[in-house]
Amino acid sequence: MKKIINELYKETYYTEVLDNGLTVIIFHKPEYVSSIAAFGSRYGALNIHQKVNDKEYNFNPGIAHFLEHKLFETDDKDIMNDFSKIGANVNAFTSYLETVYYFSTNNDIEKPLNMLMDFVQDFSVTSKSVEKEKGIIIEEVSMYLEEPSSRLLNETYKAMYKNYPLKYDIGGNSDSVKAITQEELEECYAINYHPNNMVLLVASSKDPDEIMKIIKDNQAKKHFAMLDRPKDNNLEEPLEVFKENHEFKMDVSCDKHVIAYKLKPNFKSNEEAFLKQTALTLLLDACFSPVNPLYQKWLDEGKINEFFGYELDFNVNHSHILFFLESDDDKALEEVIKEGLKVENINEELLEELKRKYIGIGFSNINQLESFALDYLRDYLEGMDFFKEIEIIKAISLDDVKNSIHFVDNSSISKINMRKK
Amino acid sequence: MDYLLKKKDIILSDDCKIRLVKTKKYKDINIYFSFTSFFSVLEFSYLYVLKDLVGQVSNNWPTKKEMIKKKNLLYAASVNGQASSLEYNQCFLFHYNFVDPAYLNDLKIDEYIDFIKDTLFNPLINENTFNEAKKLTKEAILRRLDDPYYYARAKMNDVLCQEDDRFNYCRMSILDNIDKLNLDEAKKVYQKLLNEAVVEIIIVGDIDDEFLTGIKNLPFKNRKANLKRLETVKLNDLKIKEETKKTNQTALIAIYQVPEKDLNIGKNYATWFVLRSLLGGLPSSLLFQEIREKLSLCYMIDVSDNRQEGMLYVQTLISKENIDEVTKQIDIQIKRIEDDDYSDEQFNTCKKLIKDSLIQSTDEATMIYNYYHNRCYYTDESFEEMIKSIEEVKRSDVQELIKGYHHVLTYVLKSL
Repeated sequence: MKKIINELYKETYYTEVLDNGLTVIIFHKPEYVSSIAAFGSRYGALNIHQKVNDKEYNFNPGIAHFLEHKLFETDDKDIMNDFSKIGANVNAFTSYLETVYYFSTNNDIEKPLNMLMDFVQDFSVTSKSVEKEKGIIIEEVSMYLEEPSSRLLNETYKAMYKNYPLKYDIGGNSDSVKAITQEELEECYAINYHPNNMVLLVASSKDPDEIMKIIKDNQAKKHFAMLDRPKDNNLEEPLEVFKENHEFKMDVSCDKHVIAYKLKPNFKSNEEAFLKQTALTLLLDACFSPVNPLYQKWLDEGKINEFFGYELDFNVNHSHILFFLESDDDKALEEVIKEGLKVENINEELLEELKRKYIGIGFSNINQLESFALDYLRDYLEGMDFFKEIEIIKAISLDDVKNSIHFVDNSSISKINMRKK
Repeated sequence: MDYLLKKKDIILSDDCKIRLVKTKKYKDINIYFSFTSFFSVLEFSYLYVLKDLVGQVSNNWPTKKEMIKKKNLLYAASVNGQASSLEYNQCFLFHYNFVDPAYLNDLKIDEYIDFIKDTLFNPLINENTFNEAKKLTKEAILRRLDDPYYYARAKMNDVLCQEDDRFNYCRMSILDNIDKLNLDEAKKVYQKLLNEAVVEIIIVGDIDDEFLTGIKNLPFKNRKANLKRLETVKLNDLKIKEETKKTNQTALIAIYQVPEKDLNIGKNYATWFVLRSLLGGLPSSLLFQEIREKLSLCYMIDVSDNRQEGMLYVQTLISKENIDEVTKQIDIQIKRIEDDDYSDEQFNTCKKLIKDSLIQSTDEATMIYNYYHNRCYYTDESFEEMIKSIEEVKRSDVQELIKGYHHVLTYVLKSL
């Protein structure tokens, strides 16, 4: 095991890649009574078109999320109940880029850790149980679409992307969920849950050597045929947005608007994407948060309220910038962006101030054992690392920040309006 | 095992004390200032608006730009206001979060103390800031009510308001009152909060003597708190109320009440805790197992409560075609507990999960605050004693408690 100590945050952790390709990360947290273990696959809702060893796979939207549901159930076992019986809480989530299964406990870690590895690495399901699950999943997908912010994001992605699977909800839709079969789930599981596509993270007060031994003993009992990591095999996505204007209705109190900038993802790695994204975030903070006196002016004029904000998502496969606003004035968001976006809004002093903010937020995040463990794992699965991110933030220069303005390029924009019913 | 970090109580004056949980577990320091008193619904509306103004602007840092700069330079120092009820009184909490200065060599304790003093004792309440806070609060409430789940909860509460004014401490009432609120009264009500309410300061983190002295010296005068204790209101059985909204899913909330028992003290509390968890909220709970896992009728089904009124809410989101079936199934699961018709394994798993969740909650500063603030208001029961009380709950205790509940209302917000 490689031992790593982060000096700023005074954290100690260990990493090792096992013979079967599984990456293990262990955080030693001697002061905590809880232990957390999270087992994640680099398989998320975006990976529906894939290629492994020249074989192509095209899955239904929502299959990653469906798989997450079904891994919790075999014909003779109720996994959730089994964890409950030994005093551990188990849960899971599917994002666009990964699926993660995790438990927390204050009891002995050996049994639940073995159970976690065993249920995630063994998929057996019947067509009857697949059919039974569809009702629950359709209710779940409906629930998120009733929430206005989730629906707004969902409609935004649909307007921006013509082919890229971000246009689908993480859970898919009613038709795609109904179309998923037992065979499709089995095929999807077989290529995406190989140890070389997965990471296991444990945060615990227990001895890291003992934890590693439990993991190695468990993995040594299992045989995994060599398999290359699947590659995405998406249709080419044009730089142009799918729809320049998109409107839909919901039963809400005020109209909501998004202006979405679609970018060509020209990054060699997710680390480079993170650097560029952070540089632009710092510029947008300087332009569109209360550090800019215009923010108060926009509030006074009633152009913005607390819903106003921006969100960036840069990675090697897709990149976009979203601005969102709640207003009955359709032009307000455009005016605010035009008036606020200026490189003169940032200088060395403000940059240092904003960097301190993000370093401080890091301290706060690291205290929440479960959320830190899950965030760290997600970053790692996406090719990043929390501590590396802090180093990148510290190293960003004023030129990096000022130069990032070129990403806010008007050539490929969607305007999305949520109207009151 | 000594699960909970040791606390030390420091009495500052009448109705004002510090509860210090000193620990090196966290890399930040959390300070919770809670102010508890009986306020009228109108006063509650004022304070609900003002809680979000604290930490936005102050007399020393009168613009958002200056305030945010101060926070950023203190490595994302923050203060968040929250409103809640404690028995028949209202509680306003201001939660401060700071990086532990031991981790960074350019932080000074007196800057943290100045930040607290200025934001909490000198918020800038003038015509502009108060009107802006009113507008933003109103918009935030409306936005919250756009979510059909919260809308259903609010509308259900509206139905109950007709029974008793104490259900009026809610977002709907604030919305009704907000345009009537004026600046002079706002200043008076905030001073009343600062000068009269019971103050409890819970500190969680590795705070040093200099920092603690700074907190002790904050200008809390002797208080003249007004705490009320009223009898639980007995609600009439309204049975069913159905309304509609243009949504795709139907929200269903079934409400039950046991008015005769004080669920906040002693054995009643432990029994109530087991009953609530046996019914919902855990993977092993009866509603989750039967209605979601076996019958696939919903994704989410949960149980929440209003203990001072002895109320229990079962809430779920479903397809409108399933209203009757889900209602029937909720009745069946409640009847199963009345009839003692579930396994020992379900009962013991439920108690074990409660115990474990209590132990695990000591890893989170805010959960430690919740324990000392909410539980210690009613009882001096230590954390270990509370776990023992949970272990001692018998099936017959749960059976007896649920038999005291009566069905008050099933509120259905039906999709169109």
